[in-house]
Amino acid sequence: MLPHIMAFAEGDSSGVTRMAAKGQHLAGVSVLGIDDPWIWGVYLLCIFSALLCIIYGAFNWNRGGEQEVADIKEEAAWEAKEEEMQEKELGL
Amino acid sequence: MNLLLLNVIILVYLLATLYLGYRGWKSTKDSEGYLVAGRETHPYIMAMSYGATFISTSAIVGFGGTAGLFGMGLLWLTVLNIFVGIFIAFVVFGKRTRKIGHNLNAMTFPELLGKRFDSKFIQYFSGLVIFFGMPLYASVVLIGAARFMETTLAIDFDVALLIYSVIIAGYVIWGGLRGVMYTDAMQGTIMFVGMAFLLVVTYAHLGGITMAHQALTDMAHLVPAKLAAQGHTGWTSMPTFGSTWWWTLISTVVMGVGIGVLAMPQLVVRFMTVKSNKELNRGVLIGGIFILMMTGVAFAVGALSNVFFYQTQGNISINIAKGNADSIIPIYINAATPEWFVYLFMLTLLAAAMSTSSSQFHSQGSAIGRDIYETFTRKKGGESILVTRIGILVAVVIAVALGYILPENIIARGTAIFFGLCAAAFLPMYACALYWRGATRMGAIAGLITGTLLTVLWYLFIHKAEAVPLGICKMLLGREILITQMPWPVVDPIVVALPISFLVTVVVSMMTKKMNEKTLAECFKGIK
Repeated sequence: MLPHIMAFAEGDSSGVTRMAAKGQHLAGVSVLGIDDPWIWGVYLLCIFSALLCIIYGAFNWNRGGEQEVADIKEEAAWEAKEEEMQEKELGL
Repeated sequence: MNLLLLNVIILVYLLATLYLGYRGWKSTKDSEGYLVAGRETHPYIMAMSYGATFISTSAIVGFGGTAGLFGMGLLWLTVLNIFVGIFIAFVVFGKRTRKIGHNLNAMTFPELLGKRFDSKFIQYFSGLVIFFGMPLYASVVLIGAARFMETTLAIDFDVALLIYSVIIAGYVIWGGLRGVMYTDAMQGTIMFVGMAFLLVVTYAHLGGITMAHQALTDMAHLVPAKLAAQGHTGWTSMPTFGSTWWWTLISTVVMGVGIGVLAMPQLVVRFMTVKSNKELNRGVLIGGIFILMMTGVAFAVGALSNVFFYQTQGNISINIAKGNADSIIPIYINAATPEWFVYLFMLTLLAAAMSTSSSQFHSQGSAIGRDIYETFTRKKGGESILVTRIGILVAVVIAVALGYILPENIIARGTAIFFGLCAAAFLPMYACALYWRGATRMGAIAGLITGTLLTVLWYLFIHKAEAVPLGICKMLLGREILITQMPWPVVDPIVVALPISFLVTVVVSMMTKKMNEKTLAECFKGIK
């Protein structure tokens, strides 16, 4: 199916006509048993979105861990205060 | 019902929970240097803990059932859940929230906003929005759990709701679980395995991915005439553009929840408790996969349940569920999966709901105690604790009462209302707080009030699904809704309130006095 779509897109018709025709053509394509391009498109987009997260996370796996002493102290103070709030105000 | 099997699963589950809870508690208590030295939480534990808190019964039971009704168009929400709810939330909002939250010593979302704009009004008004808006969301999470219990244990819904409410009240009063990263991670793991199992069982039962989808595509002619008239075209095709069905799917379900997640008070707070940006980076990877497996699977399976019911019982899901979309997933799982899995899934849902419910009630308690009472009276300690605890108790009572009053088909809608309200009220000022030094106190206040009021008024006078049953428009103006011209009665408030609120925040900020340089320097300390 894909080469067919590509061959169509590479044709020499004008931009607007080509877009409209391509949309019409896509509407006739069935991917994974789904005919509507908005649905099979989103089905694949879900997987691509998760892939984006995987790639971002893998590339930055060890980044952002380097902290300065001041940062650690500031965070420790925040956590201590948060702990106190949890205990005193929420009774946890 | 196999009582022996049910009891064994409950016992094993409880023992594992108690053991992991104890381990988590012990590891925080034992290490004195925890705050400074022991900062290495295993990324899997951290991310699974995130996931379990993100996803509640509302996402799986409520929205999964909605997919059974609307079809696979709901997958647009999964895309937003992953891209906006994980990627944008962690990378764009999370890192700055963490830094600014620490710079300002903020403990709650309203406190972060109030301190950033140096405004007590912002803090207590936001607290009020949370306290009065969140009960609806808290209630639908309870309903989701009760619906599953109702179907699985074959008991009355009211009894199931009561049992679950007693469990949750005891859990919250007992204090919730502290230091429970391990327990959360176990819940997350079970949810992940459970949903993966559900996906495989569903596709295997229906003859594979393409065959299952094809069967669903071929069922388009079975759409009830009443739904077809509203724009429903089938379960593997988008509704007719601009129809009632299209506007509800896109504006209420997809946009409301997909965007609203950025401004959810209990999730924003979690960014401030993260140890470093490294955890956020790693969370993006695991969170992305986790959300795909949660909502992606729930929505695909919800839609495909139509094929299963049609092949086995000759009817579509919404009819099998007697018109209540909230019951589709519970009925499907009971009918299509082995008994041991049904019990395991029930416990998983209960546990997932429990962590969400608990954080919701605590958010409401701290909103009334810390953000409203303390801001007004400037009193801390004794009386404030009492007010917080009373706030939690009132929140539980309201949520349970609403659980009995609310109609069927409410889980997804109730969630969307609260998410939409948070988006319109908080998102413009929150985004400006993190990224625009030129945002002023008056700009933030104007945006907050505009977003809140527009959303509330739109629900009362324009959005048909709420305005008609509430009847306030009818009482005051003698007509059910103010504008009858399509598409306005089916356009969700977020479409109007969010952009206007953003515009108001920016325009008023440009026209009013700039924030004090000292306050800004403190907020943005350490941010390049």
